[in-house]
Amino acid sequence: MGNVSSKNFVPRSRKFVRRNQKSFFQHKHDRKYLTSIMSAVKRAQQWATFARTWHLFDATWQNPFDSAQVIIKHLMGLHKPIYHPMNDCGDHVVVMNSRDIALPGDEWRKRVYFHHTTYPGGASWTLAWELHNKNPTLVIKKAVYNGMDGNLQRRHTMQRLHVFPDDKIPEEILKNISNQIRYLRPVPTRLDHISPEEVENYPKIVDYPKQYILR
Amino acid sequence: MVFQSLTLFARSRGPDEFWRKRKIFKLAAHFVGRKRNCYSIAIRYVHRALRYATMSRKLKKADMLNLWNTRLTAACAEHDINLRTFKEALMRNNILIDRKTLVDLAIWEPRSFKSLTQLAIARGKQDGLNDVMYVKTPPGVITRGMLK
Amino acid sequence: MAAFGRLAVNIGRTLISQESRRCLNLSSALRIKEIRETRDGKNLIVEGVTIPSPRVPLLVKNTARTGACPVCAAGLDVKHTDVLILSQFLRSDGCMLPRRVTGLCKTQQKRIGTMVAMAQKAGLMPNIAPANSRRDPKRRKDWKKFNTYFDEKTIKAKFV
Repeated sequence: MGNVSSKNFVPRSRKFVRRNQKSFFQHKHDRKYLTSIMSAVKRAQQWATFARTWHLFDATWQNPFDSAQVIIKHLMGLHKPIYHPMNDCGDHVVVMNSRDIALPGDEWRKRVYFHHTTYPGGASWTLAWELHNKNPTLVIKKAVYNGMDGNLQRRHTMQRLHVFPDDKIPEEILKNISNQIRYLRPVPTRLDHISPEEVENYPKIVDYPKQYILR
Repeated sequence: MVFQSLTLFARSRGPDEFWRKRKIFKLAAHFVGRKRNCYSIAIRYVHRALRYATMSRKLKKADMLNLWNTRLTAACAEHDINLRTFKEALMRNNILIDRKTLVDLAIWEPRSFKSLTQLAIARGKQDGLNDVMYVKTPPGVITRGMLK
Repeated sequence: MAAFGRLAVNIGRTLISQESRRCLNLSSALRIKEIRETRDGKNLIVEGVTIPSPRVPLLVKNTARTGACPVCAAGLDVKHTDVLILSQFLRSDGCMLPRRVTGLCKTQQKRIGTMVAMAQKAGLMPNIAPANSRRDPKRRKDWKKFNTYFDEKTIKAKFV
């Protein structure tokens, strides 16, 4: 079958899992398995299948509602072939730079977040830019929360989402990360961040007419 | 049962009451509360449960198909091909494996599944399927259509 | 030796050209037409010479035989993030050049104009702007300081 040999018959290994092998054998119960018949490496592969992977997502210039769909997939484990609604196979997702998310058109002042304190007259409407001013992680958190079905698992799944407004991520979280989720839309380049030579030597589409005075 | 006359035989309702009810109570054994102990209540819920069971025989098939689709979508995404193109290319290669088996391969024989996706991508490239035109594959993958 | 030195200074002056010594400019310093003065004996010849535009060597050739406008002929799908293209249609203060200068068709002129506005709202061309404008998007107020992107499908001017 093609050029790929199937002689390495092992239980499924996750494609992106790159975990520190040392950490696998830290636990006392884990050491016990090392003496079993199956070789330690292959057993580790099977553990890796069910291990929680940590993914990084850079939210710079990303639409939070489109990104939420991708983040939800990783949080719920929908990106794994072993997925089952009752199989706890979701991963952690670390979102950085949530302050720099981008909304399309005039959505910053058209999108409204509703809250009611349950007291009479307790309704309040907060615009997206006001909410983002108060807490730059809430827009993306709410997008992920509302993107999932409302069931008992939702709040537990949310526990695996870690949102940071900038690129300062605590060291103990950073050391777990082993994969990055690809961005959904390219980050635009500002004209003043491009070198003047490149701007000057870029192919030109139109020429100035004769007698034109440049301004 | 003893029947003293033909009329009485016609009036009697099937087997003995105890055994008739026992059949129902057996089906209601896992219910909670009076649903399992009182016959007149138990029979209502047993009938409802049987109705559910009948419906669920179809629903189970749909559920399983859903699960296979979810799992296969994930498995295909790992190898840069989408499920629709994958199935189409497999059909063109005359590889007739159903979704259940494909999922089993994806979970238990990841390398076999990977080779299947590579066959599909090679075939897709050969037939000009847009989704896989720019996916990288290792050289030397030969599909049935190339051996002419 | 002194005469030799004087000669060198004179040659230098003529090489630097008289323009550099003029304190009065009749038009902007950057221009496609340059005014040159040459002294021929007693006669002073002042002439306007059209000098080649700096864009000529970089120009994309318009090969369309149908007389399509440069953007249409180039077959480009311009987005509002393509600041290297959009900035070619701007004056130094960020205003859109008129159609008689750009030579675009009506639809493209509108589209490019809209996309320039989009790019400026998104803060992608802060260095081409009037001096008093808020150049850095981060220093803007309220919702304007947050990142915004646009969908080109929302531009009303389009080819049917």
